[in-house]
Amino acid sequence: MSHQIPEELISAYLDGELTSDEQLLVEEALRTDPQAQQLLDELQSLHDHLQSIPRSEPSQDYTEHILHRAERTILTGTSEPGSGPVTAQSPANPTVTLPAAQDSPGNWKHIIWASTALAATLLLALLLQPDEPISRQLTDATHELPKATSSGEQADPVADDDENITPMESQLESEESADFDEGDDLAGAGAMSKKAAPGAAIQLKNRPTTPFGNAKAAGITIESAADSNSPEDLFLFVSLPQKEFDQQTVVRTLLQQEVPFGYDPANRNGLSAANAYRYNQAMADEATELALIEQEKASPLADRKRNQDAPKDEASADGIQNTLARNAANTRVVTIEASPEELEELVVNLSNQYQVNLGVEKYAARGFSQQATTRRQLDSPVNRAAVERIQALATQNNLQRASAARAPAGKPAAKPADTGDAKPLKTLPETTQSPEPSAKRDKERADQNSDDSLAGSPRQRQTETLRVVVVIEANAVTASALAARKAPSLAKKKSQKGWELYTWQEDEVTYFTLLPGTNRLKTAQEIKDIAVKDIRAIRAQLDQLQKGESVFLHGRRLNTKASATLTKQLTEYCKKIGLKTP
Amino acid sequence: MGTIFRPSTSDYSGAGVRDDAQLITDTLAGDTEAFGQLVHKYQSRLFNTLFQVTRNREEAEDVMQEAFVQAFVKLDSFQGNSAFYTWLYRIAFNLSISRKRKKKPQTSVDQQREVSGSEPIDSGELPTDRLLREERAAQLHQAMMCLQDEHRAVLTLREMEGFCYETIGEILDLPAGTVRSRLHRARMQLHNQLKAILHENSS
Repeated sequence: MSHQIPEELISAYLDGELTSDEQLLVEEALRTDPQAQQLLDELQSLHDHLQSIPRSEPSQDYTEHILHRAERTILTGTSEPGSGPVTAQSPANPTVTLPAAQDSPGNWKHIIWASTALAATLLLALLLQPDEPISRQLTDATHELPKATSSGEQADPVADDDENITPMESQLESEESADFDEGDDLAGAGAMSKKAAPGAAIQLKNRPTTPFGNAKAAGITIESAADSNSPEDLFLFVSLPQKEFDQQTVVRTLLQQEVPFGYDPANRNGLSAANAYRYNQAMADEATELALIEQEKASPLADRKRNQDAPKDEASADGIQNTLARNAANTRVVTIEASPEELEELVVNLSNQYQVNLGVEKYAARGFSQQATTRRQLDSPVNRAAVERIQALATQNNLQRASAARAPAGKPAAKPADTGDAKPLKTLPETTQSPEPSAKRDKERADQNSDDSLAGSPRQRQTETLRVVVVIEANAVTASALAARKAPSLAKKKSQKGWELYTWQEDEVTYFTLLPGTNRLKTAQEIKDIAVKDIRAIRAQLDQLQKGESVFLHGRRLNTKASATLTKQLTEYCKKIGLKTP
Repeated sequence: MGTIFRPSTSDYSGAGVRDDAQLITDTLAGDTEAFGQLVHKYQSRLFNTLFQVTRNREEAEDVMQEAFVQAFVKLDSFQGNSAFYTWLYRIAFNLSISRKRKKKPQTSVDQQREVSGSEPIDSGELPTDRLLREERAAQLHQAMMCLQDEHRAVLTLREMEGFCYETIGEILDLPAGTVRSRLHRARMQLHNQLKAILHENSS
């Protein structure tokens, strides 16, 4: 066909995508050139033809499954192999491919490790869900709640943004910080929720077998309350010495206190895990900024010398990345669920060893979007009381531990003492703060079904499972920590049986895991639990190993091998930093 | 506020930019359920497009799911300059392309059988009509299979989704001019393929 106009104009004419000039051109051609007209007819009939193609529908509604995967991905940074796409072959049961680990008994003994970016302390972010299990009876009542609470909440400007506490720096004073003063309007909200829920008392032991099952409705309604400003959450910061941050054992050593912990991907009402993720991202940004400032400070000519003196990775762009990677490698997120009593136990045990700081913060202050969280965690006065009590305990223990650490050698104080053998400090101060917890538990065991037999105030019955997102960080890189890193004192890690470095690919993402060597074969789960997916992160982990340590590269234990080039890269990196790769 | 958490049944088909924006805001605020609504709203549409392009049901379902997961993870990087579904499609097409690169093209014979065999039958029409329609669909399918992926993509986005050139350009990361020429080439290819098939059948 020889047209005076480009054929594609006719195509575009059909689509109504021509400029008016072009339009005129084409219309002219159609009048004068039969071939142009013929082409238009052909294209038109082709168009009609294509319209007859039937639309195809997916074999099932994937919404649930996608959300599970999405949350999991955002939390862990990886899509668990088992939770990969449901294929058309398994349409009958969308949950069939969920990780087996989710099925463990007790319905909440799950841990999700997340290798997220940054921050500098070990941090427990507690997201309390006061109304969760109550929701079954409360669904209607809570529907009323949002408006009420939000209107009450409007009056409270986000005044506490400046209270943005850096855990390392202010763990001792934050307990008195303005954070908790927000409780004033919370008390109102709490009263409201209380009012809305007369007789909603549920005993802990009677919590539904799936504690998340009923949370959804309540979660959603509570969330809508968050259209108002300044939601707040409870954060518990615990700083952990680097050398104690053994990724393999952190959970065991820190969380083995019989605290049921878990994360149920089926419960997607709150996205608390994602909030933790965002928190970490915010911290990452902060650290990047700080690192940049550091760099700027270091860059003037006058300081160049200092620059040279500093360890190579300190002031360079590489240094920042290393910093970030190291932080990523030193950060883990676990979501736990605990009753206030269980939480208290955990915090007390933790604070016997580590610096613990419990505070209520607004997410906004932590770099979240204003509405990042919307749960009225502290609506329940009982939860508030519990939190206050735990706060006090943590402070007490911090002080005692700090002074104990100071006393013997006059060491720089704030560093948490290595008190593996130190006698436990304060435990539950049953008389002063609140007499309820242990008594309550005993009581509950004794008379689970009796509504009236509980000693203490009746409101304690509104205490329910607290959702706790635990972000575990070793050796912070906040401002102070960045400075501290000028004199690196990281204890290099050694392992008698060397180290096992696993690399594998899943969904086109390469994962790395570094574990101390053992004679036994490690389980896939064990390996995947602490995987990182950034080569910088694994390098940062390798950086922490003592020179001369042996690193054994593994690949074939997991689905697919990493590429040969990658293996080579890693081998070379090991060599470069003085590690052996037999 | 207030209504945003209720399932929006009424605007299921509409692009509902404003609603999408609200859902996105809510998702970012921690309400995963809101994202569920976005999934619910777009999964069929996205699946169909992917299926037309990949001609592989399993592949289309995988990519569709993964696209939503990635959209969720990256949601805070969504600028809102384009519609959510444009962005979503773009993610999906990128995924599809990178998967294609990894995988060798799979055998198409089985797929063909699978695809053309899955046509719903029995609509009360005359047997001859039905045969004709089926035959035509099979021919069209065969012709589509002969096209390059990039041609199939642009054709599907235009003819089945009815996207404008600009949107297609956003999804496929192409200038609008390229969309125009590629679309035309795709049409001509398809046209020629159909002719060839008809010719083959008649001889």
